[in-house]
Amino acid sequence: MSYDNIHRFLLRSVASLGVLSFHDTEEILSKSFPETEFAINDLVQNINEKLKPLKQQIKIVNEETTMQKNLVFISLGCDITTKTQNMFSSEQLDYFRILLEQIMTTESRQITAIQAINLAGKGSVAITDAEALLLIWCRMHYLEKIGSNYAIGLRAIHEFERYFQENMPDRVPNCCLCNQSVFRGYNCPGCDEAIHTNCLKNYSDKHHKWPCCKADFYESHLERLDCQGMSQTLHSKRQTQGEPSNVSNRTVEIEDSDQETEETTVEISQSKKRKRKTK
Amino acid sequence: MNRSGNSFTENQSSNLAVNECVRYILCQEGSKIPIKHCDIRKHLEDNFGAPRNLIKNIITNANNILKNVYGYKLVQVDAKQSQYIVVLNKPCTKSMLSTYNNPQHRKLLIAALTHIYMTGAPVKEDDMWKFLTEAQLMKEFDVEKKKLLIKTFTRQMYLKYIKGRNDTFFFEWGQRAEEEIPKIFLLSKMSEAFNVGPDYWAEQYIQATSNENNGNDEDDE
Repeated sequence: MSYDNIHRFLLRSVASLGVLSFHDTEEILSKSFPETEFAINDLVQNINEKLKPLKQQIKIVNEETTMQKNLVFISLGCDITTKTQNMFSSEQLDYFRILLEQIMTTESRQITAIQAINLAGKGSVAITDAEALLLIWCRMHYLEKIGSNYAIGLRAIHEFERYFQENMPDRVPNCCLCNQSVFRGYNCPGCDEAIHTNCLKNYSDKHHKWPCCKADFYESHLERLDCQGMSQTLHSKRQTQGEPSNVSNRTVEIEDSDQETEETTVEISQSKKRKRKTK
Repeated sequence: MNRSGNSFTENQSSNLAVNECVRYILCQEGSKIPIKHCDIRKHLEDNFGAPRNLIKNIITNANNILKNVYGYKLVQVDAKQSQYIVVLNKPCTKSMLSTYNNPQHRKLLIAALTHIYMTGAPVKEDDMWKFLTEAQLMKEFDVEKKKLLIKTFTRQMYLKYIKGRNDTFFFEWGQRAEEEIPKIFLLSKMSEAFNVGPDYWAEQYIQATSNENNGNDEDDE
């Protein structure tokens, strides 16, 4: 099928929404182009060919909790051109990065609304603006609200894939059951293996054990893991893993030099803190 | 990138410049603030070594890519300063609201534009606040919402805020609203709300349908 208005319409829709479920895509396209036969995968393939020189892409991905297929629009480039964007100030972007870091270094990969808002101060964003920003980022699928907690949104998961791999490689483990990246999940309190919330539920409902090390599973494990204090969690994790006492090595390994996590604030020396402020 | 004395072939470098021009425009487009020609030129000159005399060509080619790939087009909005906005190339009534937009703000904007359209003339500032308050879209002394109309929407070229006689300010449709929002869409919302046909408002109906005749709907292509 040659590139046509249906491609352009689909591209504009996914680009402006950020995320569009496969099901909704089918519905919208059938309604808007009733005379046209189409296959979404083919449409997306054609679009991506056109988008390649523009460093953009539509990815068809499975959402971790529902396993539903979704179309996600991602910007592939992170360069001098993308940095000219004027939707968000650099302070606001810093705040977003801080949120991502905090979420990714929490065991359950979720933070409470209060934690999220308090982090605004670190990013030089007014607390009053923080609420509005969180709302905007949820709407744009960069964050996801789960109950009163915030998790990483589907769009950020895929758009920031490289960022996560480069800056926190041990923060994006693969699920011990299905081997996909875990963004909605837990680390086993027994052996620290990562697992999807969904995969864990399916297994523990039947076997009442953690699938990785077969330790007994209790609901209370999850309650404790949910939004535990960050430094507390990591500190205890280090102890169980027998980490070397020289903490600064590990912190350098975890993040890029200009992003700092709460953990570094707690545990590293004043000199590192000063380094952050000058960046 | 070839770092020896002879970098790109002319073709390669012009393709790169055009693609980067498109990318720059798309990056700027999200805020809806008009893109200055001189900003585009500076970005391409400084970062991609695009020669000044080719900038106009590059922008024309970038516009073609926007039309071909996205179905968008560039529209020049200010002959003096040379600014552009990105709008649909052909009218499309099926578009969904972008998540970049705040739905509350959108409601406010559409209400303001509808009020001006149905009034058939520029609307006095106080009259606008009264209308929006009665429509329960804002509280009477809501400074934030007023700022939204007076500053944000005018900057984005959805509205014009003009000084009239006796130092009164008026609201009018901005150029972006003319390009983006089909009047027949507003009229059909009104006719739904009042349970009448859209031709109930004769003057507005003529305006709306003469616009429609000028642009072809996407389906007909």
